[in-house]
Amino acid sequence: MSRVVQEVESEDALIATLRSGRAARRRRVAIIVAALAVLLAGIVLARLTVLRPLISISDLIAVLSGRYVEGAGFVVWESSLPRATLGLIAGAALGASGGAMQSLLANPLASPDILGITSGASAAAVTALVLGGWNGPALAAAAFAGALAVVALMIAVGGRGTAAPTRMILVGVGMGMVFGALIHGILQRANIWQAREAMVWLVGSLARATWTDIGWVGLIVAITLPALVITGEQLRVLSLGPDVAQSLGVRVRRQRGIIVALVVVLVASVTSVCGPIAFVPLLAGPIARRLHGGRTNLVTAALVGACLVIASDHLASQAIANTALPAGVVTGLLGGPALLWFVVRSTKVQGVA
Amino acid sequence: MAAVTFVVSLGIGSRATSPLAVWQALFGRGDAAVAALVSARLARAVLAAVVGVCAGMSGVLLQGLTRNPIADPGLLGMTAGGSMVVVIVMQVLGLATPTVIAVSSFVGVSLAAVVVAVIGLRVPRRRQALTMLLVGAAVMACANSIISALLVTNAQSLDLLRHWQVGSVSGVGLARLPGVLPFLLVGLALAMSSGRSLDALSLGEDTAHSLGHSVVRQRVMILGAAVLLTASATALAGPIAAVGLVAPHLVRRIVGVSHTPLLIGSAIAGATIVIVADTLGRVVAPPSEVAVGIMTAVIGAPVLLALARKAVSA
Repeated sequence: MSRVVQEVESEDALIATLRSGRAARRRRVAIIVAALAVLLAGIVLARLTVLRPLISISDLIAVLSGRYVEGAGFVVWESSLPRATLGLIAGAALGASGGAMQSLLANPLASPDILGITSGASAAAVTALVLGGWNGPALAAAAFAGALAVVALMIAVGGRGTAAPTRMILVGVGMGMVFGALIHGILQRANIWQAREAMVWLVGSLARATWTDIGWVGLIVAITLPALVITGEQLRVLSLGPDVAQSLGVRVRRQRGIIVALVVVLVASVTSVCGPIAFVPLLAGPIARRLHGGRTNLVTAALVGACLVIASDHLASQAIANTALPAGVVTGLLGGPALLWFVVRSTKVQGVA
Repeated sequence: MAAVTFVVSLGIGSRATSPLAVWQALFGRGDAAVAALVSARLARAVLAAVVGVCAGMSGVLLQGLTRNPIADPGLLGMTAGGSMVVVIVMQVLGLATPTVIAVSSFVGVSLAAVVVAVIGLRVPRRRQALTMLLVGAAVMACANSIISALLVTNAQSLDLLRHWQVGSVSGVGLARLPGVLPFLLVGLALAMSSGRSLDALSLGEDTAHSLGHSVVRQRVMILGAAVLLTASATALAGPIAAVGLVAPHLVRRIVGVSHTPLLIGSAIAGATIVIVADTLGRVVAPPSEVAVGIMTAVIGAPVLLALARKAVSA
């Protein structure tokens, strides 16, 4: 009798400990997300005001509320605001999809940019632009088809079993190389103006964005990103391995399929407008994971991605007077060394892959 | 085989030339226009053959060194590193003499190789292959974004370099060959002398050691040979994809796994592949041409897929 009571009591105590632990973790997540959101708001504000010449906050409010302000109005509506908006959308989409793929394939380097998904989208977009003269939604559809082709190959060759992620990575890396060659080949055939325009799809830039583009990309991302975050909840279970996840009641193949499909939609729609902004998917995931002590959190990854893209775009456009660099140059230059440092560190701990 | 494709490639192009006319042109007779055409094609074919030899051999060296069937100077980021430094030197210093290109290509390729090797060797054996591939991809991404950063700011160099960046043997001529020659010859000599050490290494590090081979020194030598050959190929024609991956696998089926015949065979097969790809590129979309780098990438893709499927069947 007394033993049973004791057991019940200790079980209660256990549950209480678990509950308080979980609540503490939830608080920590909430604090991190809130802090990142504040940081993001600060970066957006800086993007809109710290320009040449500076735009005062009162001018900015006046412009945004629809009043005419000499000088500032044009800059805000035609340049800084669309770029900040697109940066927000693109960064969030790329960051979250990077985090999702890395977690799904259980490899910190397995992000859509390293795996050739963005190269597939870029190659198709460049082909459609240079050879077909397409633009707008048709171009986006081409980019989507390109990304889908890479993923379909990855899945078809990857097959089933425990080695599937490894095979998918091999295929992805190879496809990245092949599509890279194709992009260069098409650039070579283009005339010089087209080639300059198509360079956007090699580096990634927010400068070409029009409000129409932003509108429909925003719409697609607004639908798919929350869906990815919700399905992403399953990633933690999936990361225990297919067998464990299955026995815990997760439909492994279906969940994997859904997550990959959402990632493809996000990456392709963003790439079709602003090109592959180098390293954002790759960097956002690990940064977010580090903030959460090793756990995958797609909301954080999305916020980190947005911060990265907007800040890089700002730096790129303002750093050198009279020279407008694309955002992808800054993310590429920052991301390269950061990436290698990160690889070295993670190999020291447990070995990448 | 290589010789046959070499001769045939002289006759094929957007303007077909009869074998007889080629023969006459080679020996200084016949039509002057045909002679000019054939001599241009001859330069291309020589270049293609040299590039193919380098790529095929460095593929064998890297696959043997990493004991990983999916290794290739392109996949391991080495050609991208070479391109990066060449582009930087060409744009920032404004220099484009053959020697400068050869040296900077060598510097870039070595840099990438060192990064990949250092990181790759830190991880446990069974994870090495995948890690090296991913580090290679990372180096490639890194190098490409730096190249793009430079090209995007300058329309003139974009126009100049996009033709080089694609991997092409056309319009280059043989002018670049002398600058590359020292690298090429040392690389070839090192490669040909490393057949036995590759055989020993393929038995595993411990066995190689107990057979009296100095493992570290041999590895450095093999990597050095691969770097020299890759640097030569990159300096001559820019990045040419997948030849180093495909050639050794084709040849292994014929000559087996012993490395000395494998090296010779892959050199021949590599030359054949590049000449065929270049010749095909000339005729698939007349009157313009598809650069040889694209053709080899297209040829290499299915081979890569098949290998990926087979390599990790467990």
